[in-house]
Amino acid sequence: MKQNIPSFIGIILSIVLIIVLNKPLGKAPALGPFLSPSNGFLQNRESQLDLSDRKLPDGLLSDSATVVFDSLLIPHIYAENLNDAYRIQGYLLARYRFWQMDFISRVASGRLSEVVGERAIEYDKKQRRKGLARGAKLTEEAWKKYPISYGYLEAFAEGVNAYISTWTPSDLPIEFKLLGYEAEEWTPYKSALFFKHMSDVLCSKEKDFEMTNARAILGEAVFNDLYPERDPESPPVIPSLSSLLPDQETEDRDSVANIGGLQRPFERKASGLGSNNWAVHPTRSQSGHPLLANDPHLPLTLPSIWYLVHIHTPQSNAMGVCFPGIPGIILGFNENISWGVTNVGQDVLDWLVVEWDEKSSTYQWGEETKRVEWVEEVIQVKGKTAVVDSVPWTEYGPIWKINTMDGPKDAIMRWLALEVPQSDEMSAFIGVNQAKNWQEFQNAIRKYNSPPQNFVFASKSGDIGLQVQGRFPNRTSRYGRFIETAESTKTWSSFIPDNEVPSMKNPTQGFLASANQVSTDENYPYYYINADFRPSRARTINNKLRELTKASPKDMMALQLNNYDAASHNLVTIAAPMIDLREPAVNQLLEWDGFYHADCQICPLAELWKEDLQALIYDELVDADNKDIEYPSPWQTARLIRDQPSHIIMDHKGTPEKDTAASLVNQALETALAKYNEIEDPRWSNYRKVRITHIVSDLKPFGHYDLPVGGTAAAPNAQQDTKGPSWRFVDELDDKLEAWGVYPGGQNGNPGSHYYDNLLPKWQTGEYYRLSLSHSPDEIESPLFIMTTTTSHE
Amino acid sequence: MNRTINFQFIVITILFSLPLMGLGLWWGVLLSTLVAALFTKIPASGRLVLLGFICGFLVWFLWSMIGYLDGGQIISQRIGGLFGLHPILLLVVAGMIGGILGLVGALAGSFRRFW
Repeated sequence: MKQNIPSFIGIILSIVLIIVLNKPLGKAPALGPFLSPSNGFLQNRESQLDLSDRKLPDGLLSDSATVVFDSLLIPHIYAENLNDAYRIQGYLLARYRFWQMDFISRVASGRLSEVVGERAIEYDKKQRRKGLARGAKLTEEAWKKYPISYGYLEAFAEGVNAYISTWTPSDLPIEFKLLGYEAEEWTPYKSALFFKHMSDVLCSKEKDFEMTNARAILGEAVFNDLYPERDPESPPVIPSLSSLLPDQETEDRDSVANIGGLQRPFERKASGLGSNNWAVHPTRSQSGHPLLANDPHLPLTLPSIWYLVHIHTPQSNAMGVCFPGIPGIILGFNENISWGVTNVGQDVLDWLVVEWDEKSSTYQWGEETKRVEWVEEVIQVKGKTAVVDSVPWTEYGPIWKINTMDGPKDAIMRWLALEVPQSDEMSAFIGVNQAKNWQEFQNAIRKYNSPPQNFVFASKSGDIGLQVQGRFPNRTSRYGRFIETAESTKTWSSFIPDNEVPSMKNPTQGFLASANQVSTDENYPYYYINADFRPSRARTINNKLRELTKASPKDMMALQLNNYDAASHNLVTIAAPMIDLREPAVNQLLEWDGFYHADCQICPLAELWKEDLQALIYDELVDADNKDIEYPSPWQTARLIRDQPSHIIMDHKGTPEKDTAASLVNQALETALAKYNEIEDPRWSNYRKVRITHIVSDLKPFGHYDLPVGGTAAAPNAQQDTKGPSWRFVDELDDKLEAWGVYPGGQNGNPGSHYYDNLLPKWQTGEYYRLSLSHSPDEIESPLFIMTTTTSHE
Repeated sequence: MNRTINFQFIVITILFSLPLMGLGLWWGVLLSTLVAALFTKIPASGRLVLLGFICGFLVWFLWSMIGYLDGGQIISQRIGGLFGLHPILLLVVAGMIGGILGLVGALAGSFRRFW
């Protein structure tokens, strides 16, 4: 017996070791399975990509199909019908991007705690209360009314699930292994969640809190001086609508009075998400063919938000980028047309202060008493017991607790993205993929609801067009600009009619451009609110396009890469005559051309000075305890300095003497200069530090840091530290069926693959890849590998 | 004699561990050294512990190294970065885990029949 003691110890140690190594240690994965050479991280190596020809799975498709992967790992799908094409698209996205698809669906629906543990509970509570999952369920139900396009979603899901059903533990994407959870089935509901996620990213922004706070602090008169509803110098998306539409009756009204110190219950989405797109008429192009360009500015992550794909069926032949999670091509071109989108900066989210009684579950809607519906949100937490959050829902949206200077209040969040779509929304992009002309394009995009987008168009036949598309509330004047009260008489109850959304085709100016600026000129009869209109890029782009009478694709690319920040340069130019300081750095600033190139050494001084100047001028607004304030735009600041240098807002409250614009300009420059002189390497790219992180930013080695790129949020090359041009696309609509595009990432979401980030170097240096539309698999030059099928679906 | 037994131990460990791990059983090497120790009847000793460790280490390290050389450089570099380790050191750490598994498996297999 004694001689077996070591064996018993060994047995106990074996059990302990297996248990210990099978459990995650803090943020680290379970080391046993993760480091195991048989099914751990090394199974995600490059060679596992298997670049040899292979068969598409038996039984998945209804007809024969071929997929050819080109040298960039872009799949060219040749299928006999759309259902098969979307099955293959789903299959390939599962192969290359499934973890990303799964994770985004969890982000949207508030299910992160299930995979990352208790640190995500508050985030999940917020997401659940926002109602994205609830909205996605309603949306999916609405989509079911359109069986053809819902069938595409089902086909897509079939493709995804056909791929993941073949997985063994060693095949799981590395992120599943690191976070220690399993893949789960894909459904059309998750595609709807992706739509809601994009609405959250693009149209959940409003300034209700900021505007209400600013008005409470400054008073009505000063507020109106500083925050005009429209930037008087901004070129609108749709150049002129005078006499196009009948006048609408609008009524001026006020919102909740004497309320201030408001704090949003969650952090507002940062500014800087936006995009550029434009189309040039053949009369202004060098070749006599229309030109189209588009670069959406989104959070830059790895894997990228985009996936390049070419889909050829008897119904359509289109190429471009798609969202991992949704069938079809979102941005790109087909044999006849080219299209792109930018975000519409209109406010589609309102906050309504409400009186409600938790005990009786009722709330006051003006004179009416209505019932609250309680929704139990059960949040599963990895390694812990589930957390339950009861969310009160009104007919108009969820109730949130908000802070005000008078103490906590309750407010309904009424958000258009949660409304049930009233059209065959899913078929919008499918229709665009097949459209041959402006009419067909318009018919397709009219079905599109949310998030609202400026759709630009150009066709081989020589037409260009732009439409501000989405579902927009038909508001009474000023309703929703500030925090409102829950009253039936004030709220909006209808939408702007589909045929009256701003739209234009072939304008006399010869081009159309949108860059998240105001949608229309003042002749548009419907009232809408600035949630995130940004005029700077639109000015630069419009000015450039006006200059280009013989535009070429190279000019379009150069304009996308243009680093000129019109807002900063305008501010410096206007303030220059007031500057007394004379130092080498100040002289450089005064001679600066306004371009934020990567190697610009004076740009950090321009930024520091702008920040300090705004903080000095608007010191009344600065409140350390409240982030929900927003300075007037740099354009408005420049106008004030130029036209009203002694405006009351210029008087700094911390000094006894009366300040003017000139004194603040110099004071700000002095403090900025002191900070600037401490910067060791003042090159703009070094100061600003652009990074493209993995979607889970904690996974630092999976990202790229300190990228040497220029630009600012206000330059056409709208580069910020973590956001920027997520896809650059240029098309000349001639007979060649070619376009140019690039995105900062790669086709394969696997960080162990060369194709994870192989497109990044060209994106960084401002180069593009040629994208060709082919008609048959034989036309693809030097394919990496080919997938085929010969069997049929039952 | 000793050399033969050592050789037997190594062969049994490899023959068992590769298919077991191939089936997805990451602790297959532990089971293999346990079987090898039972079969070869090496008593609990420094030699057994060392043999178990070496076999476990070699199986994990060499297999990992093959994966590394077969296109595993990028992923090893990224995962190594997560742990603050050079990629080769990461493979050594994997080998150490294999070694410890082999060691405790061998110890557990040192069971001497008393019936």
